[in-house]
Amino acid sequence: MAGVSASPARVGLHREVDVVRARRAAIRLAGEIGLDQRCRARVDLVVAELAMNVVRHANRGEIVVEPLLGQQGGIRVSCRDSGPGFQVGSPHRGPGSDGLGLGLSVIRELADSVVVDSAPGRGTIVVAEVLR
Amino acid sequence: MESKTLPLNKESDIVMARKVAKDLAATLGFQLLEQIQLATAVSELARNAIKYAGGGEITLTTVINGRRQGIELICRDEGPGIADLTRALAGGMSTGGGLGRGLSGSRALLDDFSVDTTPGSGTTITGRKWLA
Repeated sequence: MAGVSASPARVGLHREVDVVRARRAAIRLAGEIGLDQRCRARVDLVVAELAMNVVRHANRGEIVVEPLLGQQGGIRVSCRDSGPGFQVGSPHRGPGSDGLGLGLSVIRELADSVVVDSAPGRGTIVVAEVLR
Repeated sequence: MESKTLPLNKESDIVMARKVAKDLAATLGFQLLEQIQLATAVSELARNAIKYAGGGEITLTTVINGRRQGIELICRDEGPGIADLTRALAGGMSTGGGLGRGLSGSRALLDDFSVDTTPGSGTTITGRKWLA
């Protein structure tokens, strides 16, 4: 029943210190719902990558970390920003060449599912799930 | 034994260092999570060298200790040095910065970690990740 009582964490993203806050909240939530050490490490890196991308390339955004309900359980990380957006699917090199394209490939490797919605000039939403 | 030394002067050098670290870890047989942890630590140390020290270089080497295999990184710069090393290494993520403006973020992703720094004379950071 631990998963039912754990509540989502919502962190505004603007400066590097917000990345620390987001990671802390995510790790705490992952611990509350009983994810093992490797799962917590994956959640940590997914949150760090998404939040750092927002702070570096989009200036402002928000990240929400919440427990997945249902049999398996896990964590959903939803990250939204009002930055420049990008063409999903193109071999992307962002403002620095360490752009969202490269970061996204790392997130796809770490998370069990990733959904991206973005377009040039329209910001970005990434929803990643790490299953137990 | 494999060794690669890479310059750290511009953003694209961070991307290259990250890729080389991840590929080297994959070749040695590290699991995906550990590959990404090493690559992330390398990426953050490289970024620090560029951002705070005016650039530097990083050497990645496969190493053996008895029956253990692993990867060693040596990140060198000739920047101003770290004035307050204790604070930079302070536990958890309490110093500002997403993954390691302080060095604690990188340290947490590696197994061995040491810093040699002299204010005014640069910094050498040595880290190792061992195959489980």
